[in-house]
Amino acid sequence: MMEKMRPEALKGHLDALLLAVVAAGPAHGYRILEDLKRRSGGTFDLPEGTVYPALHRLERGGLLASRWTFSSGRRRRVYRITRRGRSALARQRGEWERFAGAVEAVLA
Amino acid sequence: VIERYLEELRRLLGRGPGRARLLAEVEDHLREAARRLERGGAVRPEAERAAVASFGPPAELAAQLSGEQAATAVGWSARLLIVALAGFVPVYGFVENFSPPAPWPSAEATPAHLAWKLAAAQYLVLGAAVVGACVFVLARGYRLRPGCPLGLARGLALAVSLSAVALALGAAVGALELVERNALYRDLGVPDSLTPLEVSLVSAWVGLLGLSALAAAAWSLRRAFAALKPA
Repeated sequence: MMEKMRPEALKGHLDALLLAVVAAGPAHGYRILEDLKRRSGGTFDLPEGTVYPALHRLERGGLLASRWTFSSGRRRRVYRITRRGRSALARQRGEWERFAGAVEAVLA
Repeated sequence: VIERYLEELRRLLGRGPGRARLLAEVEDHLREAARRLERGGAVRPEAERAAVASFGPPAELAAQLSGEQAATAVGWSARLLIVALAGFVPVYGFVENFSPPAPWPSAEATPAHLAWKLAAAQYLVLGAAVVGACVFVLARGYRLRPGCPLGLARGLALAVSLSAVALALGAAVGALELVERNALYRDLGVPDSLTPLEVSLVSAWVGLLGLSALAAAAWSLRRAFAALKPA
């Protein structure tokens, strides 16, 4: 497993990461966090509670939408990405690619 | 262990909005995490302790959520305040177009008891507009930013309240000036003075604007200060 990254290093990127995970398909908070860990190879292992204020904030901004679902007698809040969220994700991907490319060019 | 964590979070979240939803999500998350750890061989208390430890301190979560929610509420209050300010435009237009010209030779000759009230109303409403617009811009910037500090959100709530009080005072003084001015015009026999019904309608409208601004400010103060009880 890769070395874990400090939560502070994720600041400023968490929203884009969450949008990218939810863009793959509707999911509840626990599943989103699991996917984030899995897709990052365990590198992004942040305090789990920080995900919920971020999800709520993205929903208030209209980038995510959510609803309660019932499965196996359990009530869960499932999040899905909105059209506005997809546009924001595409924009943030572009910004990240430019940033990462520039850092790579300097460090290489 | 999970129950204790949820109880602490419930206490910290106070009467903040979205409390029930967040608690339900957190409970589901912690129970799912503990269940998975149990499946991996941990005993229940140990699994619950590990799930809670991975989730992070409840105070941190509550503060993060409350700051962002308060910033959103303040942003909405500032928006309502700007709408209330816009409501003064038709009042100004009505008074300008339908009130007869002053019977004295120049603005400097305006009776003192009217002059200071008119100036105070104008400065108060203008001040409310400037502060309200600044709060709106700041709150909008922080609304979707991760981790808006609760202290900043509270400061913005106080600023929006100050602006609302200025607007309400401006509305009250302005309405009083209009009533007194019109009464004086009628005493002096100025033709085409506003009727008592017109003056009452204008006064009621500005009163409503002032009360709306105060209600919006009270709402944002409640969101900002009741959102997080002291630990």
